[in-house]
Amino acid sequence: MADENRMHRSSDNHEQCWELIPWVVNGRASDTDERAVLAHADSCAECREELNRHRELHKHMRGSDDVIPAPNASLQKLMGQIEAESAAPVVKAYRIKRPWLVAALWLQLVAIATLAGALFRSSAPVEPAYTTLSMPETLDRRAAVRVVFAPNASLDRINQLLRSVECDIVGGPSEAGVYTLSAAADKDVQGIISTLREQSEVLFAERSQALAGTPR
Amino acid sequence: MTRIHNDPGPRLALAKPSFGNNEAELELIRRVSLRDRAALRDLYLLYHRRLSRFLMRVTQRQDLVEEVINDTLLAVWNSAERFRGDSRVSTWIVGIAYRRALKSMRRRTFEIIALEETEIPAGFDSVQACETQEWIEGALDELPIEQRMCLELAYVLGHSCEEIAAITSCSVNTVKTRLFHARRKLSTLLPRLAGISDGG
Repeated sequence: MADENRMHRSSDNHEQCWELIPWVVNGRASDTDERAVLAHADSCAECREELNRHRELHKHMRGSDDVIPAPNASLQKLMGQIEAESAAPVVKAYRIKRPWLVAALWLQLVAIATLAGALFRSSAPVEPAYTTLSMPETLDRRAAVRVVFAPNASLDRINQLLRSVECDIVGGPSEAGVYTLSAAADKDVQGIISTLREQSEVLFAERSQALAGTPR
Repeated sequence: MTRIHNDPGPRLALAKPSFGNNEAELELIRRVSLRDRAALRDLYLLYHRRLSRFLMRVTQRQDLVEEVINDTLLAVWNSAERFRGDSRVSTWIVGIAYRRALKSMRRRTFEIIALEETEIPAGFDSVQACETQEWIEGALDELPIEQRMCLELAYVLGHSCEEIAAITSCSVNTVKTRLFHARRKLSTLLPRLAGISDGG
């Protein structure tokens, strides 16, 4: 059991040391870790080899600075760029960075306007569909007089009245009991109306809408 | 050695402090945030050499190096007032350079592919020092860019594991995993490198 624990600790130590090698090589491992890794590498061929490999790699990668050019030219370029930016702040502020976003916003605006227009049209007030008692259901060119007979007027009496004024029923009765009468073109409509109004069987008589405004 | 690298792994004792004077650099950043061009010039001269070394190694293009350095310092100039000092100044600036370099390199992938591939010689005994350089560079070129960047940040700029995590905007475990895979591959590609210092 003690041997197993020792082996387990040894395995853990090996993995820890192997993983710490880059930080020992670049000098960023703590002193404690560095000592532990170096001590372990003395007795572990794999870690010793890895340590050597990465020391060589580090030496190679650090290299020399001979090839690095003087920064003056690029520094001047950067300063020039900053000068140019500070000289034209307004242009920068209004520069469109995402033209597709502007296009999308315009498209959205057009869509909203179209929908609003459609909504306005559908909710616009329409002419109310109602009728008055005096309004004919349909305008008949032959219509001359509108008349309402008394409820107790007999059919014979009504026929007699119509014959006396030489009129024919061309419409009705409406819901309100209004009949529309036609008269010959040469007849005096106002005379017909006066005759009808004198009869007790007639409750109401007036000039038809078709003739309204047409004096006879 | 077999090791499954999906656990946090061994603890890292507190790393030794990074090189450089963070207090002095913080003062430079404060002055830059007040639009002090002399401070920006000082910062530029302070970082030009180390960023150049790092960027030249990963891009191998001098024009790209200058472009990334200038982009980085321009970003510092424009955002210095937003730097809260949560990390070291060097971590912040190298982080900006890292992202710009990565973006620039991905944009130029076709050019990188077009670069002549370096053959890795099988034997070492007969090669000279300059060939060793080529051999090592060829092996490093074999690594995925993220793994290589971790190695470059550690060995060229001397950053700690935690600093690399901050620079690359990933977790410490991700840095450890990238380094683990990079090292496993390098041990295969550079089997004899371990013996060079012993006389090969």
